Amino acid sequence: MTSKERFLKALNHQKPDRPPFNFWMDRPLMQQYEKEIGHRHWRVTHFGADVIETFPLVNFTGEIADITSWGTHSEIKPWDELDNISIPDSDDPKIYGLIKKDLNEFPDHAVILDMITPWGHIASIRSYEKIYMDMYDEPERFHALSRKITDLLKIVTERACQMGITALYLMEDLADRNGLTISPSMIEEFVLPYANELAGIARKYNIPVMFHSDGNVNDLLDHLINIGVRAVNPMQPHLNNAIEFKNKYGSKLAVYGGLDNCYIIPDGTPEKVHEHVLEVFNELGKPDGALIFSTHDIPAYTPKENVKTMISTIKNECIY
Amino acid sequence: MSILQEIAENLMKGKAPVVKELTQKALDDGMEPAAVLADGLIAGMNVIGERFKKNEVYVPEVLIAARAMHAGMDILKPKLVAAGVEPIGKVVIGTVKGDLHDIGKNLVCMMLEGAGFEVLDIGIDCSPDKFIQTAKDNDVKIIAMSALLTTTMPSMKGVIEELDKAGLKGIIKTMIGGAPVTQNYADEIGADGYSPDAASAVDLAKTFI
Repeated sequence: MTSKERFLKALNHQKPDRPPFNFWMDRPLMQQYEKEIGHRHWRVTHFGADVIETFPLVNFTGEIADITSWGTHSEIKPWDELDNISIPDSDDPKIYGLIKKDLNEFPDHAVILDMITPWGHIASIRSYEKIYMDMYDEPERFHALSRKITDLLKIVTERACQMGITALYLMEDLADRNGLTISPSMIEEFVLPYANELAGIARKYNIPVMFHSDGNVNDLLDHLINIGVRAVNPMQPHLNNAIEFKNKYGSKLAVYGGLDNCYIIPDGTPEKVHEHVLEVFNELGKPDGALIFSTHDIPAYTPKENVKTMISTIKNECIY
Repeated sequence: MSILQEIAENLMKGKAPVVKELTQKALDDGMEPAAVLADGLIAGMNVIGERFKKNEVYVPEVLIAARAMHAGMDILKPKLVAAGVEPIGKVVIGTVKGDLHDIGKNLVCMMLEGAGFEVLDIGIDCSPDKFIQTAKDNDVKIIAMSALLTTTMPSMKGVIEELDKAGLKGIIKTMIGGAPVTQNYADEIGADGYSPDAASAVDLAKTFI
């Protein structure tokens, strides 16, 4: 079974041979691995991960490309400038370069398209703190900018679908450890309609849609199901109850995540990590197979032995 | 509804210009600045803080309420100083060395100010020396540290170690928070307290005064 087949089976709630997997680490640690192993997709080439996250190289004026900054370094453009923001040319081949490269290099792997929502792009341009207030202060301008960004991203999404991506992976942090960071009504007004337009493109091509948000996402899940999302990431286990999730949403949503990057993987013994991986497999991977193992960022201080144990347990013991 | 209740209500709705106008009016009517602060601005922020803890309001509502509070404080602050009204406590707060994130830290600042603390916000990427020197220079007994990244969390330990070397550990209390920070980590590095969210940070800071 190829990685791509394994991934699609899991997304379709059918049991593969074992759950597909991916994982993320603090960026300096990932850079260290990349340097040591000598491949950008070292998680796949070295550790046998099943998923490649590719992305379009789209940057709007004033937006910081470093995805780890979460917009904290943004230029905080005033709205007068943003009203006439220049939108990148959707025909620019640079936008699609990485997608094409990844699809060509890894035809048998799940190559999913990381797509920051229009709301997230505005956050990167303005900073999160500003846009939280912008939704109250400048709703019309916010919607007008969302429209422009969405129109470009729809074209980009459509072309990526035509190129053969395995899934569309919408990304936006809408929750923290306590729950949603913005109200459900604001999410309904400012985030989801535009995300849904992008999801609609993928649905047209029968390409599954996934969604990432950190935090306790319990109050977000119904909203995501309504726009056709079929898997959620990362479902951090210390913030989201796996059994309750499986009971309530398990027939509709797969999990791309489930592993505990906060406590067990960094701080536990290899035995604890082993036990944890099997527990996640039993709680989220059964009975229907709708689990793609992944982590939120594993801290840099995590013992390498724990990472090895996590991977070997998935590959060798999480067998359907 | 009394004018102080009106101030609180409008603050909760984030109506900064109205809060500013009502604060001025309350003072013009001869009300004590301390009463306007306690029963108007702080009362409103307290309600927002409680609702935030219960997920009844969210980050945007806290931000616009805090902005309204600042609008009122712009009017009130000179009067409070003139009247010799003291804050309930003082806190030095910053994001630790190497960490450039500040939304969480800013939320804590707003909540602390809303509860009547004087907040010395030293910004992002702050060295241990900056935390400690600011606290010493301003006679502050609480240092609050924020980190979003696991890679920068060890800087929190650095501040506590430097406080210890200076003989100030325990005299200056330390509280920590941020997405990857946990109570276990606070215990491990010897922080005096950990708060899982901005509203709870106020409760924690109050235990140190």
